[in-house]
Amino acid sequence: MFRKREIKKLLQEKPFVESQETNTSSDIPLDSVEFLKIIQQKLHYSADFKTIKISNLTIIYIDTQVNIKELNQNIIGHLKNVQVYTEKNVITEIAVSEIQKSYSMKNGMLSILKGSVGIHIDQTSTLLLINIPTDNNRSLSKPENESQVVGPQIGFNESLATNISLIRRYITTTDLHNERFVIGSRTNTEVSLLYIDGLASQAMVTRFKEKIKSIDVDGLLDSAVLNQLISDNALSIFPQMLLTERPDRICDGLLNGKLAILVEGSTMAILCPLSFIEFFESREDYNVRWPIASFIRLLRIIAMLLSVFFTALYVAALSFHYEVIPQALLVPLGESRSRVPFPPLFEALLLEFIIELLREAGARLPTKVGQTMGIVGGIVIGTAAVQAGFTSNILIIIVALSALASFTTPSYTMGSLIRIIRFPLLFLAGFWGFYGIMFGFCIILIHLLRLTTLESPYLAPFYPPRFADWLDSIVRLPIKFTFRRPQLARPQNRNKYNPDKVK
Amino acid sequence: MEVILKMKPNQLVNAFLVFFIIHTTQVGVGLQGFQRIIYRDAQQDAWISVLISGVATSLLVFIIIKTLELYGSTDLYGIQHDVFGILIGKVLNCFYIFYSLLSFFVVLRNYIEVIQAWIFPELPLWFLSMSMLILVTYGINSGVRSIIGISFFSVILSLWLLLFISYPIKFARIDHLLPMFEADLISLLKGAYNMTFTVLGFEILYIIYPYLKEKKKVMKFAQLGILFTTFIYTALMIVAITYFNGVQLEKTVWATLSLFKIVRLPFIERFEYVAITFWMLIILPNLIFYMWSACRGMERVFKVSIKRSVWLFSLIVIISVQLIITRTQVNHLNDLFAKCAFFVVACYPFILFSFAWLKKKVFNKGIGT
Amino acid sequence: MKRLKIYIIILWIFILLTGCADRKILEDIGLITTVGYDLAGNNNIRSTMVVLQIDPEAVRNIDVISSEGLTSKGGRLNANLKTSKELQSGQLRVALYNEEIAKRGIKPYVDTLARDPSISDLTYLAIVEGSTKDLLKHEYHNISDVGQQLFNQIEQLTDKEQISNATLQEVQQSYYSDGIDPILPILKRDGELIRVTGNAVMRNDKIVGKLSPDDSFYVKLIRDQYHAGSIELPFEMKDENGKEQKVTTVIDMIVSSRDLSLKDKNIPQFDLQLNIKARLLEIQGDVDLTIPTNVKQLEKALNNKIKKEAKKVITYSQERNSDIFGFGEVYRSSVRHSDLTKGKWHEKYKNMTYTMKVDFRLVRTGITE
Repeated sequence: MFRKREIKKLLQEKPFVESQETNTSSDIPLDSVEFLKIIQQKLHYSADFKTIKISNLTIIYIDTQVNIKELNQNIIGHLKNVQVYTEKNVITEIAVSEIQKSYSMKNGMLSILKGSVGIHIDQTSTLLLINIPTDNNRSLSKPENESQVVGPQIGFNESLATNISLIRRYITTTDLHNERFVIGSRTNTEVSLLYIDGLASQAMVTRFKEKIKSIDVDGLLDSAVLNQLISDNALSIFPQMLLTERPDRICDGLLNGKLAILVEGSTMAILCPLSFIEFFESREDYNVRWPIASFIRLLRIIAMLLSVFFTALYVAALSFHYEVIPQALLVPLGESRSRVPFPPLFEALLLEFIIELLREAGARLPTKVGQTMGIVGGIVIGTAAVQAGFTSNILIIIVALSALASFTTPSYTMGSLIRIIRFPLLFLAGFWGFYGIMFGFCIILIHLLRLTTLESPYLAPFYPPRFADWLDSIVRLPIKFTFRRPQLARPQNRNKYNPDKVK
Repeated sequence: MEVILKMKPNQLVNAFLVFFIIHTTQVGVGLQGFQRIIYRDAQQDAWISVLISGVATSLLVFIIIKTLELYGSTDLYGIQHDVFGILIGKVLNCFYIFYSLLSFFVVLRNYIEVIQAWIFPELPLWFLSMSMLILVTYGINSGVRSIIGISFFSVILSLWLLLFISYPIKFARIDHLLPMFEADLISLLKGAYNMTFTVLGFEILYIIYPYLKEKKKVMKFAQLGILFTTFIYTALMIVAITYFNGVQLEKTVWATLSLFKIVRLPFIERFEYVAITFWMLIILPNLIFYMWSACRGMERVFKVSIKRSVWLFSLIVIISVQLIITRTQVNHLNDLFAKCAFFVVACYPFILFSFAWLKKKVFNKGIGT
Repeated sequence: MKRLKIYIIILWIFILLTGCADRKILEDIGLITTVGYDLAGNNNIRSTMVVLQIDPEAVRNIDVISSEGLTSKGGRLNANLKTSKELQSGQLRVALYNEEIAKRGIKPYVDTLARDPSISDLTYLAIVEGSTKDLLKHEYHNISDVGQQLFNQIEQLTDKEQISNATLQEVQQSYYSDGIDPILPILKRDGELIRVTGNAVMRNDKIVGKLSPDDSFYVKLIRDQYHAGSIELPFEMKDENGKEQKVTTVIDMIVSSRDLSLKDKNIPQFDLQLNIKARLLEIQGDVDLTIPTNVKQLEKALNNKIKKEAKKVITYSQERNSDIFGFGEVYRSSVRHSDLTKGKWHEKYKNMTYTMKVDFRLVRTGITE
């Protein structure tokens, strides 16, 4: 679906940042024998390191990293015709578009490790790098973890180049900035920072670059790790940046002046700054009509509250505040409880634990087994637990409902947070009833107020109140009214379009 | 001590948040049961007393802001220091710190009393005070902007409680309000005086003022806040008078909470249990603001960091909360505090304003003209 | 310093964990849903409680316990000695008083309910002819849970405006009021049924008379300003030929309102105007409703009938000296500085006079004519 050439052309725009040195500072030896010796030492005589000598040319590469077919056809095949091997001749002959000159040993090595072929011409201090990496990417597929009914069905894969090209396909503008960083002293992972010039706040971009540059880790294997490294409040349980595998979600963010970070080898991109409420929004909300979108958003918020507080309220009411139970519920509740030998708190903890167990097992097991296991395990264990008198059946309904509700959140990280945060609230409810739940609620509220996302308030647009942004928060009003970009990312241009020209 | 404070832009908040600050500091424990105290004096005309007190608070807020405007960007501690000199200023500042702490203590003790009387009679004092102090400490450590955020959410998230006032209205008897204007002026004023404890809180303006952007708009939003509070008080007063009978109202300690007793929802039989625990969110900004203004005083006067003084004050509160155990003691404390607060909040602003004005305009040698 | 802080926080959390509140787990407590009070010998009070037994294996869902004590709460303490579960009254829905107790005054019993925060203001109060123990202890054929039956029955009748709303709140409101007396429904066990036999006319908190359900209709009409439910009215009217004939109708009040005003405060004299809009549910007798004059005749006849009956009931209440209609409230709210007390009003009420006008309109006669 995407040809490699296209991707390469895209990459051509911004060459490696570090390869822009002058000739004078070159540390590449003139002599090819010496050069080869140093290289081999550095690579510790790696078994997959190959050299080819053609007259005064030394071609070096790692055969597991480069596309051998292309090497034979477009490089070696063409070079054979050349009479005199000068730098100029070599560059003109080779039928690969991406050729760079490097004057630094370190850069050259990194590039070779990533899939470049190096050509050293004897008695010169430059190294020609021809990028022909192996094409062993997974093909693009559906975003499994964030599915949508209405909207594009494509997700990121593990290749940075493919992912960027996906974004470029949505946003075709020269203003799309792509800045590249390398993180990890051992993994040397490429990281791309994307933003739209003229929308994204320069202050935020600078702040973000400082953050990225200050990172000093030996390895970066996934964007999720980077997410934790650059969060404002690393100790907090709340996610402060969005991890998504949907390119349309990223593009939506970019168009609102946000920053996106893509990491090589990672299927998740990071979007920031992101406020609390935006974790409950999905791109699909914009694809369906506004009353439906508003309804779905309200549903998600209610589901979140239900998921966090429902079990706790059950425990509190049954342990302390029997007065609040309506008359009609008194007998059914009491009857189902009277078989259970444990206090409500313990009962609820047990059941929540079982549900978490099922969920975790379902996530680890292979897909087909996982589904069977989820259903059978849920029904069998649930029914058996009630019949054995371990739990009351009303609690099963409540716990299952709140588990279900926690899965309505579009963001997986937020969803797991909602499940975790139930447990402290359960304890508070089991010890101090409604008072405890309210205490927990206040703690969460203060905590949310403390949090920032890229030094913007996390609870925006509610606090600090930005009433124009409320139109597209818990509800989504018609497109005519939501013409302003959210102020959270401090976009340079506040208006998306002229509202008078939109119906 | 610096009199004029220059705040960093990221510490400043929008002026319209003053509305929420004023409203939350005023609404709190007083609201739970102010009706009977006023009713004792003004009978069925008690709502007029509430209106009078509303006008009075509005005037006081006017004076307070005018005093602050003389300096531009400072707080009470700075003004007292400037007007009365180093020594007397320091004494007065210490007194204000003590007053804030006392307010904190009274609010806390009253809320604990409600919790113990309605829900958990056996939960010990130290536990309840400690759990509230954890919230307060956590809140104060989050900085001024977050504190104001708490007050904002406290208003927004508790507005729905007002909806449930429609339940008692169904059982209200309007003729309880008749005959109107029966009480004489003295009893009306007495009633308004008794509102002191309930309307208290707007003196936070003295401390929060330097943190506000667009100082010109402060007056407008502060007055709006007062208006909103007065509206709620009057509404609750009228509902309580019409719903309860006079004698019954005088016997009802927490009339507002008792109003919720009539609410019955399909899934919650007894709504007052929810209302009382939810009240924590209404109390919280109250507590945090009082504690914060005391700590802020420590920072301004003695250069002790806020984080340290929070711990110190928390310790003092936990120890002193053990001294007041019975309802009689609580009532006594409230009366005593109301008298003290009446002087601080209703009389002192005029004195301070005249001194500050004299110093500024007549002697023309104050700082920051 | 930082480490110390962490230690302090951990210490706080541990201390907090020791302050767990007393649990009242649903299945471990005996929920009293209904309570009845009788007089026993030696000034003792016999309390009979319907306790909800939540046990799927048990034959009946309830357990009825009787015990004696000097006070109502004392009775509960004694009853606690007879059960495996701690008795709690937070789910109390109906409180019954034996006629003998009502003759002595129900005030102390109402007061103890009002004082307890766990008891709902929506608890229904009622008077029982005969002993409450008999009513509650009887094993009815068709009623499995007598507590629930009572609650549903009273609630249904109150909703349908058949009896006055006699919740704890309403009874207190009238009891504490100077110008209105409470009115409570009277229940009686009638074989295998529980029957509402009418309303109790109270003077202050003591029963002084009884009204049949039909008579109670007029009380509702004058006392409650909104609805009065349905009533069956037999009367005599002239048909178009001028012949007297007996007609019985059932009418349902759609809108009813009363205007009551004080004419002369010395006698005192009142003007009572009743505005009723009603619909015809059933008519027995030979009346052709297609003829407009007949409808007019019918209206007039009903008008007179209602007037006559209402006067009868007012006279009865004056004889018993119990102002169940709330004339006194109007007096209190129209006379300035009346300094009305219950005693004073009862003195006046005996001699009260009134003029009555009824404006009765038949709005609808059903979907057939």
